[in-house]
Amino acid sequence: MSDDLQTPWSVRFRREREPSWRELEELVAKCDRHGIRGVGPEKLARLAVLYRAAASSLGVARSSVLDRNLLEWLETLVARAYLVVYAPQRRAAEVAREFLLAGFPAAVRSIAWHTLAAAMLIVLGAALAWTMVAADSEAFYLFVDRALAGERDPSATTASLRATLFAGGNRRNLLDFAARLFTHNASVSILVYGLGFVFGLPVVLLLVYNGMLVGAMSALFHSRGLAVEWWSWILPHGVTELTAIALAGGAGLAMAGAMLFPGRSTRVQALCATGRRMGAVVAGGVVMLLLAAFVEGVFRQIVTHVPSRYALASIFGGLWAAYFALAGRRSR
Amino acid sequence: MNHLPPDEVVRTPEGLDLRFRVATASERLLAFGTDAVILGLLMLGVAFVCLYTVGLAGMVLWCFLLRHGYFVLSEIRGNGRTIGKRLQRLRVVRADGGPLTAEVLLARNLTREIELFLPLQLLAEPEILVGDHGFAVRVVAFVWVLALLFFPLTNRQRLRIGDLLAGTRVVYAPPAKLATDLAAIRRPASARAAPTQAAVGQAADEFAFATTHLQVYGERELAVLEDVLRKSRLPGGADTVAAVAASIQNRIGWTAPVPATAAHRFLQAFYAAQRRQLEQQLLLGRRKTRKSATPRTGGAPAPERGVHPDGE
Repeated sequence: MSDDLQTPWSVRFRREREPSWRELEELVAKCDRHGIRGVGPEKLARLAVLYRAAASSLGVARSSVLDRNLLEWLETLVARAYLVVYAPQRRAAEVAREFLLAGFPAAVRSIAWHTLAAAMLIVLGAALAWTMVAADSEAFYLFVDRALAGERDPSATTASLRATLFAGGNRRNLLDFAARLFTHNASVSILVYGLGFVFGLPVVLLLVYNGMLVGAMSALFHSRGLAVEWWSWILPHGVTELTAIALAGGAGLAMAGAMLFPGRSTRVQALCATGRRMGAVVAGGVVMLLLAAFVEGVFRQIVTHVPSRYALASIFGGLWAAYFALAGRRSR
Repeated sequence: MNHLPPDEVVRTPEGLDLRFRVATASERLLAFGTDAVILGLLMLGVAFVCLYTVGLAGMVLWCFLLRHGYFVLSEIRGNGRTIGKRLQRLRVVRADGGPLTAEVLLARNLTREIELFLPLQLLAEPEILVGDHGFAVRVVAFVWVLALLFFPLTNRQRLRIGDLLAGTRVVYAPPAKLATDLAAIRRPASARAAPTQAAVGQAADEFAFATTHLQVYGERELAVLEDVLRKSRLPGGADTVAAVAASIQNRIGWTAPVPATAAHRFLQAFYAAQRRQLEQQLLLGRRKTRKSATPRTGGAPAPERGVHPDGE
C-alpha cells in the first residue's frame, strides 16, 4: 500500500488487520454458540493466536487511533475473545474428580481450627440442653419442637421409645423423612455459609441450636436407660451428618473471621478469597449430607443389630478422618 | 450516560485493561425473572414426574438439587451466562481477570439462599422464620432480610452478596458492529501522485484543508463529528450535517463557498483531514483532547480515551 499522505494513519491500520479481526469475530461467535468443545483444537489454537494479535492491536489503537467506532468494536471483540480464551476448558467429570480427591479435603484442612470451634459449639449446645433436660424433663420442649419430636418425647413410654430406634417401618415413609431431613440440613449448611458474611453471630446461634436438639434427645434416651441403643441409632449417619454441619459452621466462622480480621488485605478482598474456598467446603458438605441421608433412609433401617450399627459408625468415622487428613496432600 | 453504573475494568493476564459496562439492576432483575420462570417450570415438571414414579422423597431431593444446581450448572455451561442472562446480553466476569472456575460460580450462587429464597419465604410465610416471637423480633427480621434482598442497590457496581464473596461482576456485553471507515475515501490516482504540504487532507479533490484549518478542533469534536456523519442517513440527519458544516466553516475560517448539496462531502473530507492531523500529532506524542486546549508536548500523557483512571 503506497503511503497516503491524504488519509489518516488508522485507515491503513484497519485495512491491514481487519481480515484477522473478522476471523476472530467468527470464531468467538462459534464458541459462544456451541461452547468451547464444539470447536476443534486447531481452531482453538488459532483463536488464541488471533486473540493475542487483536489484543495488541487494541493496545495500539487505544493510544493512536481516533476512529471511535473502530475502537469500540475492537474493545468489544477483544473482551468477548478474552472471555472465550480464558474460559475453563476442563470437563465436568474431571473437575468433580479433582474436587473430591484433592480440592475438598484441602479446603477442609485449611479451616481445621474453625471446624473444631464449630464442633465445640455443637457440643456446647448439646451439653447445655442435656444438663437442663436431665434436671427437668419438661425442659425438653424448650429445645425440640413438639411437632418434630413426634413419638420421641418425655411423655412416651420407654418401650415405645425403644421401638422408634428399631422400627423397620414403612420403607417409603422413611425415605421421605430422610429426603426431607437432607433438604433441611443442606439448606441449613448453605444458610450458615451465607450468614458467615454477617459477622458469624447467626452461625454461632445455629450451631448451638443444632447441638441442643441432639443434646435434649440424648438426655431423654439416656434417662430411660437406652443409651447404647440411642447412639447406635444416631451414629451411623450422625458421624457424617454432624461432621458436615460442623464443616458448614467452620466455613461460616472462617467467613466471619475474614470479615472481622482481614489482616493486610481489605475486607472485601479477604472475604472474597475466603468465600471462594468456603463455597467449595459447603458444596462438599452437601454431598456428605446426601450420603448421610442415604445411610439413614436405607441402610440403618435394614441393619438393626446394635454392634453392626456401631461398626458401621466407626467405619464411617475412620474413613472421614483418613480422607480429610490424607487425601489430596501433595506428595513430595 | 452518568445514570449508568460505572464501568468495570478487568485486567487480563496479558496486562490489558478491558472495560465492561456493569449491568443495571433492572437488567439483572429481568434476567433473573426469566431464569426464575424457567426454574419454576423445571421444578414443577420434575415434581410431577417424581410423584408418579419415585415418590415424595425423589421429588424433595430433585427440587432441592434443581434449586441450587440450576444457576451454578448453567453458569458453568454457558461460561457465566444463564438463559436469562443470555437474553439480556449479560454475563458474569471475574473482577481479577481469572477464569470462571466452578469454585467461583459455586460461591456466587450458594448465597442465593439467604439473598432470595429466605426473603421470599419470609414474605410468603412469615411464621416460619419468626414463629411466635414478639413484634420487635419480627420487625428486625424483616428489615434484615429486606436489607439482604436490596443489597445490590446499595453499591454502585450492583453487587449481590454472592458477587462480593466470589469476586465476580455481572456485565452487559452486547455484540458490536463494525461500520465502514468514514475516512477511507477512494480518490483518483492523480491526487495520490502529487501531495503537497499545504494540502494535508484532500477528499475527492474537492476540499483542500490547510494546516491552519485543522488546528482548531480536538478529539472530542472529532468524535462528535463522527457521530453526526454516522447518523446523517437518519431522519433529520441531513439538517444536522448542514448546520454543523456551516458552523465548522465559520469557525475554521473556510472562505471558499460550499454548495448546500456538498455539505456532506465537505464534512466527510474535513473529518478525514482532521483525523489524519490529530492522529499524526498523536504519533508524535501530542494529544489534543478538545478545542480549547493547545497541543501538548511530552510530559504526562492525557488520560486515555474512555478509560477511567479510577477503575477499581
